[in-house]
Amino acid sequence: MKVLTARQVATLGAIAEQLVPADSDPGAREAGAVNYVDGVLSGYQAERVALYDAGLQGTDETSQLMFGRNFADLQFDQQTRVLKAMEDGSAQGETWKAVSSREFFALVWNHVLEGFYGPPQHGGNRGYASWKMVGFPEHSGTL
Amino acid sequence: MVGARAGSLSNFELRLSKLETMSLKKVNAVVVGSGAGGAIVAKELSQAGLTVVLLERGKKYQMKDADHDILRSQYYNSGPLGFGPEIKANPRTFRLTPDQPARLVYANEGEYGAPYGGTAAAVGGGTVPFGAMSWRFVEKDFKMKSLYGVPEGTTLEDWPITYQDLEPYYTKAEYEIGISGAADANPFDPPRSRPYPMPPLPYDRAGEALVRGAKKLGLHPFPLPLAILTKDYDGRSACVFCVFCERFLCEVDAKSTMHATMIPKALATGHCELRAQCMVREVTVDERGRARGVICFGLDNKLYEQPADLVVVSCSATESPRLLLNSKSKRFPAGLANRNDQVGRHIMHHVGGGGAIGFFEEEIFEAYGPGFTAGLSDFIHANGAVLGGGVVTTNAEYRQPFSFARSCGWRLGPHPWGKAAKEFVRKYFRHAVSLGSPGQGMPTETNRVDLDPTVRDAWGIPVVRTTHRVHAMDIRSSFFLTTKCIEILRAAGAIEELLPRLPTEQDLEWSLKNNTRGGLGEHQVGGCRMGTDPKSSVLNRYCQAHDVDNLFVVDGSCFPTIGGFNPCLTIQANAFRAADYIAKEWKGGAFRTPG
Repeated sequence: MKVLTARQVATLGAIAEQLVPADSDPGAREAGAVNYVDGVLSGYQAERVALYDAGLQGTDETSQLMFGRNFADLQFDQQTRVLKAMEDGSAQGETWKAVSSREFFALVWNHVLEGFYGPPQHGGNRGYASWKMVGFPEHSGTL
Repeated sequence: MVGARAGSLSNFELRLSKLETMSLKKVNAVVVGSGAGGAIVAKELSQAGLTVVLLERGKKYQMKDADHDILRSQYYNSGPLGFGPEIKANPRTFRLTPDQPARLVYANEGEYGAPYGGTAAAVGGGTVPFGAMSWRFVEKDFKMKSLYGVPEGTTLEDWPITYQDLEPYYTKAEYEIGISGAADANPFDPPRSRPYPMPPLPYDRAGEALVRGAKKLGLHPFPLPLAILTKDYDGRSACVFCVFCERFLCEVDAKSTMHATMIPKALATGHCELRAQCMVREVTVDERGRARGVICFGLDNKLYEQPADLVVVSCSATESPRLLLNSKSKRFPAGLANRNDQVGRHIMHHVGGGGAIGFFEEEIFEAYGPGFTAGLSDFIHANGAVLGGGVVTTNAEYRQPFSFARSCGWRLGPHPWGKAAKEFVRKYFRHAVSLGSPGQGMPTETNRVDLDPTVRDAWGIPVVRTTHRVHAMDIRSSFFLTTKCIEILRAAGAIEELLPRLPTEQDLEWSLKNNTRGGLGEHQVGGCRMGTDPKSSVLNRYCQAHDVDNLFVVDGSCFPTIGGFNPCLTIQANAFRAADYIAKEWKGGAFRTPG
């Protein structure tokens, strides 16, 4: 990764898995959504690094306050509850006094969808996982 | 505050007063903006024998640049827009009403360019990525004030021309640009002197669903008129039915864009020069108050004056008023051609549009074709409910996996993600029919574009500040047309549990009371409207400024009404008509400036 630390990769990977979980088809983590976000943050949206740093830290802070562990170490259902609180703007934590959890959540949601459902040349949608899932022609992605 | 220009000049603030302006060789006409209006004027004038310089702030894209990349496409993205403008270099501000502070907006926020008010910044303008819908207005669109009066809170006006004035130019545009359609299929079509030059695209499965539902309701569906070739035409290839049309550059130039049609013809005359990536700062005037030329930035960021006998401004409904307002002089202290404070006013959009997505048991998605083939005009005027109305068409807005995944939200409750969302996308992506309708937006007293008092772009030029909130009639239109879309989907056999519920009277009352809808997008028109009275218009019936005989504004900004149709073909027909006038007058000796 160019920008994200190992800890951030773990946290963001867990968020991505919440947003698009693996089932009979790969989820967003397996499909490379974190790799995609790293590319965005080291490229045309470098100014968003600060929001990601704060937001991922806030995610861990809320997780600690709610369940006593960092986000990546929580149970799946606990993670869901943390994210819902962030999305609602009701998440506990000092971080969220300076940074909007709603804004951070909305950005991550958008980026993970781009990374999961977009064309693979941007680092996500490994092996056209999402396009295979919906039957969108893979060969159409590049001329 | 200055936006950062991409490349080597980030945060470079240009001290304009210290820059010298180099004067270029004078030409007969300088055209600013190479979109639907400017490209046609440049081509017509250069074919009529004038020397023309066509300036365009955006880049030139060609077939080889087509990449099918939804994340680098136009109209919706959090990322870079495929066809401009550069995001950070071109900030704007937006507010709903004049009493509010305006907030910073960037071109890649929101959907379809709203509320930023973007079209594109490219050689060919918005026609490069557009969805190719090519409609004629109907006769009533030109005389709405005479027909309906002026609804309270609006500044509704008649056009200073009739449909009959424009008809020959609609025909000319359809043949010169290359529009496909069926002339005898729409009972509400206005009269036409010639059929379309080629047949329409065949219905796809989504189109067949609309036809099925519409016929059940006694409506009159027909194949869409589109700027998409259905046969090889004028040296260009017919459509090859890829899946990447609206938002994307056409890889075979079957989309009848300005860069594939008018601009090559203009250049072929040998005396039209196209200069891309050339930002125009202002229009200059001489001591008599006639246009003298324009000042622009070259690729070297140096300032150049391009003198000309006449100036044609074709920058879009947001950028043309901006250019005029930024062109201040002793004779025009409030901006060029703005003696009566009309520049930037009466802007309109299709914010009153409606739409709905339905889902079907049978498969709808096909891995070929643009994805929009059918429509109906039953709700254009005389719809018993709202002023003006709008066409209803299928659209391809959710035909890409990414776009579809972002759209399902409302069905899935307050947290539209996770297992349920993924299952929904997997199950229904191939079963969706999306209908939309561009309901007319009314012009109002306060809706306008002007200059932001503090924000500047990367070139140091004051940016557009948009003040726009929809009129109550627009909200009624939105509800009415959404209701119609849902009814058509239901009649077509859409799965009932997945249809949106019909909007209620309470919903409507709530929206009217809590009106927070506003913002121009890619269908923007108005801002320099045509009219007979200089007190309430900027241009005469030939798009000529009332106050400046050698200044023309030829793009969507000249519209007094927006119609219930995508505006492109009307912009183009009107551009042919204005160019005809300019060329005739030129041949009679008009517009010459000495020196």
